Amino acid sequence: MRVSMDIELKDEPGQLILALDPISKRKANLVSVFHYHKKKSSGSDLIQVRLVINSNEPTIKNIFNDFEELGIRVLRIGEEKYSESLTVLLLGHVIHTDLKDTIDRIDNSGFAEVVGMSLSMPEISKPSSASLEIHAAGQKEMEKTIEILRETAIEKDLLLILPIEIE
Amino acid sequence: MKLIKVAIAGFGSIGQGVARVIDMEQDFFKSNSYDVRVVAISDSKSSIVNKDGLDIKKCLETKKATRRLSDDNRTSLEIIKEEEFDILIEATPTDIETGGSGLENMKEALKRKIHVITSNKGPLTVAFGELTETAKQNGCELKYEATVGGAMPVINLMREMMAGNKINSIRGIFNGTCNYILTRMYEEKSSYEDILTEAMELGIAETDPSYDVDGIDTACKVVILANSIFGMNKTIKDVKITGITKITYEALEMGAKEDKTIKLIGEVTREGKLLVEPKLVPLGHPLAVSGTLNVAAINTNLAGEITVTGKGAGSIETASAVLSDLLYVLKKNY
Ligand SMILES: NC(=O)c1ccc[n+]([C@@H]2O[C@H](COP(=O)([O-])OP(=O)(O)OC[C@H]3O[C@@H](n4cnc5c(N)ncnc54)[C@H](OP(=O)(O)O)[C@@H]3O)[C@@H](O)[C@H]2O)c1
Repeated sequence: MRVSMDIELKDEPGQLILALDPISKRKANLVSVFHYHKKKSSGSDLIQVRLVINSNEPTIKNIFNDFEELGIRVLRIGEEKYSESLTVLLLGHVIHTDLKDTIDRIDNSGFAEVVGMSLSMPEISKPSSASLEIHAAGQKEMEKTIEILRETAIEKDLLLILPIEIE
Repeated sequence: MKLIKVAIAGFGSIGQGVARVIDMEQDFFKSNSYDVRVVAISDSKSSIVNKDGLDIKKCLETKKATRRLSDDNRTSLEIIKEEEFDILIEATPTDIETGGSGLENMKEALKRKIHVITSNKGPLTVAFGELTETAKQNGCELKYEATVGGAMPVINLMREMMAGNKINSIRGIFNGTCNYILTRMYEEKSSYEDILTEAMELGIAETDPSYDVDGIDTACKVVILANSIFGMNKTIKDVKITGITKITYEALEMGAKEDKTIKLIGEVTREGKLLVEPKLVPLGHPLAVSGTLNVAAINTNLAGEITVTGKGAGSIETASAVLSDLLYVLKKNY
């Protein structure tokens, strides 16, 4: 599972390293670290950091306990719905073949969502290109989403270009 | 000194390159105790034979001046049937429907216990199993490094140097023409059609480019890799193929916004998936080579991923792959 944790750290050198230590010791996968630079907590010498961690539930609980022992306050902890993200390209008559329907097929899956899109349309009658940023609940779900995309591309005669890391 | 007689079938870009390289490397052969002589050459209309060895420079000059080799009208197949020699270098045009005269030449040579080295993908795509079996039955070598990735040493690398490693997958760019077109489209902000015209003018693309741009050439190489490295028995019909003709400049630009480029990737996996399709490749990724370069990434259990890059085509470049096969055959058999 993937969780995001908002923690409070003293605004001093070495504090972030201190907080990252339990994560590496417990072999959890740190996905991202985000500093809320301006958003200081009420006490002015504290800063807020969001950690996104990928691991199993017991490990995450252990990390939570480690933080408490180290005197790091955990302000919020929540499961992230989507752990996988991917950007694909669709080329061809993307708009004429009902782009909204293409996106709906992913959004309606219940396990994936199109979270970003950009379109390039050189001329109205010419083929266009769309880049879709997709989030999915996990690896399996992403695979299923790619299947949906592949089928849609065949049905609508579009060229689907996947990232090289996708098997 | 061991006397080795070589015949060359097909005297175009590759046949001539091979002849030049054999001529250039005479001292090297001699220092390894081989006296390598080209005793016969054929093109589509004529042949030339000299049992004591041909004067290569003269053959090249005659071919250039008269577009033939001599007034000996025998075909390459007749030469293989009638003349005595040890190794055939097959460099006639590719025919992926029937294997063409290349297939006939190779079968005949192997039956006559003549080792075969080829740059011609056609026969291997159509009749890989039959050819390797015939070679085995007759105790002959069948070598084809030049068929995949030109100068890039992929097949011998995997079969000889990396023996013992379990290879999980091979993927790469196996067609320089497609790579050139995609690279230039982005650089020049141009359409597929404009860059294709440029590539034709430069001789990088053929007058009928479909074999390259529709992904068929890449698929042939995927088939050869599947059969030779994974011991499969695949043909081109087993490959899911998508070419590059639908790719637009806008698509390349969109990829670039994500720090990615689009490449035509050929892929074969141990599980038997054979695929040719355009993929998004991160800039800086080992497979993100540009221009006419080819590249292969070999995924193995012990060595991890090994990537080889090189020139996928060209007369002398491809001849270098033929030369490495020739040395292999010499060392192993003479
Ligand atoms: N060019 C490359 O960079 C490259 C790289 C890797 C592999 N290959 C492969 O290597 C092979 C040769 O390529 P290439 O570029 O040298 O082609 P090419 O320049 O078109 O030359 C083909 C040669 O074969 C001759 N030929 C045609 N039919 C023949 C027959 N029945 N018997 C004997 N000779 C015959 C032609 O005769 P004429 O001279 O009378 O027309 C010509 O000399 C092809 O299979 C190609 O796919 C090429």
